[in-house]
Amino acid sequence: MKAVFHTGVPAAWGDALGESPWCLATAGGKPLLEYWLELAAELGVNEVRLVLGDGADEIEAFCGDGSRWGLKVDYGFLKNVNDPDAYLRRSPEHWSDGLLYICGPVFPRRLNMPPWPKPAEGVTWQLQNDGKTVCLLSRHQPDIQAFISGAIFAAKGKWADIGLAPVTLRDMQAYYELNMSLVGGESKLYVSQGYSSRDGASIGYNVMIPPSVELRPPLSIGNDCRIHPMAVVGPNAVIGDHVIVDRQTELSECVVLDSTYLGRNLEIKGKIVSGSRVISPGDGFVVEFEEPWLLAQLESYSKVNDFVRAIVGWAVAAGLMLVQVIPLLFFYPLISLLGVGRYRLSARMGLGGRLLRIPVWTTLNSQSRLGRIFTGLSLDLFPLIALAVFGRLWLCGHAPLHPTRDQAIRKRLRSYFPAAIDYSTRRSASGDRTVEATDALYYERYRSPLEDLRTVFGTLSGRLFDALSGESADSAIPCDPDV
Amino acid sequence: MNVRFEVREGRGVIAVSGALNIASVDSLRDQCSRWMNDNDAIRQIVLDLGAMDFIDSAGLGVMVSILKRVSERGGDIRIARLQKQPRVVFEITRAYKIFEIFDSVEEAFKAKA
Repeated sequence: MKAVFHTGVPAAWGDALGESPWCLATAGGKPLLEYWLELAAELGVNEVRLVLGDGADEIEAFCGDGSRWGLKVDYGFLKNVNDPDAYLRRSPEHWSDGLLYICGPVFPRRLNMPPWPKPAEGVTWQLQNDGKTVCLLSRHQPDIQAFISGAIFAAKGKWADIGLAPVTLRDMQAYYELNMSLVGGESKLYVSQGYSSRDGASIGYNVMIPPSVELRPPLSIGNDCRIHPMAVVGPNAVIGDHVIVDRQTELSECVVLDSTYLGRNLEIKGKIVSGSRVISPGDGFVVEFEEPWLLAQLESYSKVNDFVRAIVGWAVAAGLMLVQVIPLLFFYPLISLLGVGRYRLSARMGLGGRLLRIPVWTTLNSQSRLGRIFTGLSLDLFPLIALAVFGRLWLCGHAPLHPTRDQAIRKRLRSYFPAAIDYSTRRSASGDRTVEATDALYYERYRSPLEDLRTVFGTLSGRLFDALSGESADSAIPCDPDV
Repeated sequence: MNVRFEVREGRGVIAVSGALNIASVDSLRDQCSRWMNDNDAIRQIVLDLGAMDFIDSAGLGVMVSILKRVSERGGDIRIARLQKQPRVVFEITRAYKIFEIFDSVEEAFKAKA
């Protein structure tokens, strides 16, 4: 059996959600298209044709060759959106073994938990919307041929007999209600056996939630999210991947799509938020916010943003180097003589993934007042700041990753900015891979010249404060004893 | 943005139309300030926003500053006829907890303090 999925058919409500194609809009934290592919795999489909329209690149990047689902995915293009069945008519014999056809925003709703009954041969299931077939499942060749040729035929199958009830998502309200239904408990029908979420809270990988955050299930939080202190999430909140929820913001009965920043002290209730857009599901009314401190689309980075970061970072690094050079010449000989600490070379991934040996400060006597002054003035960072001046590192960015130990984090980053100063510089490297991965992913999506300046000056002033209050700062980057 | 001031039965009605954003907040603040100085006996004011189709955070800020000024002299401000875009802004910024919002100017007048 083969499957043909049309993603190029326009859906007006999908346009309001943003630039991504509607088939990648998440429902219960998972793109609609993924539900189709999972259904195809479940039904024993081995070959899927995705007929693309707008957003083809994004869809291809998501599906790849289909091996994630055990499918073979090929791609085609829709020439005439008013006649999607024309694609099938090009080679009618291709579909004679059976066909799963979905055209437009259809959600393949499950009615019960697996195992689901297998569709019988000789029976055809059909869902129509405004007189057009939007979903068809058949292994009955005459019905398939009739459908392809546009002839009228009577589908005998009842979807409920095979545990399905596909629905057309006609408008924003239907999309919102689907999300609420999924987070309210329906999502358990779409995960593999053996998984259970007793409290109705589903939380993805690399999600940072401080203790002061209140979670009120049912809720769903995607991967790589950061929830700031005193936020309240739930009940019935669906949060996508790469979402940042700032302090004291409350989310309930809402859908927050991927890569959205929600500012401080907001209340999102009964809305869909996609980047800087707030959508009222009832009437589909869209409000675009122009103030990025309220709502913003993350990942909208331009080369200009990184260019400005580079210029600002270099200027600040050069200034810091000039300020630090005289204190360093005074303190470092003393520190070395007294055995308070020393620099050791450590292998890290530099710019462009090249191997770089960077001098990392190691405190040998944490009780030394001189050592506290040294790190309080951030003189331990001097070689790294010098590397930033000479273009080998960024001033602010990611903690330089280890060439072998940090491969998994590196693979998850689209852009890598090894830097002298990062989020962990003040608090000392934890060695916790999860925290480091979350920091790295957060920075990748939230970076800006302002964020860099805030991080650099926050780190330097914080270390000085720590030193004055008697706390010693150890190496920001863990030094490998074997190097 | 246009502002129209009116006194009805001893209460003030400030009708704002157009967009209340960073470009127009100073004008609204100045006009309101002058009008309130000239009518300092008025305690209850209704902001009629039936023709205001856009507001941003700067606009919200000026409304809060007007509310503060009126509250200091023992009065209050009510909002009437909030349109779709401003309503969403009021909802997500929790401004609806600061202001009383009514469907019409008459309802705002009738409501008890």
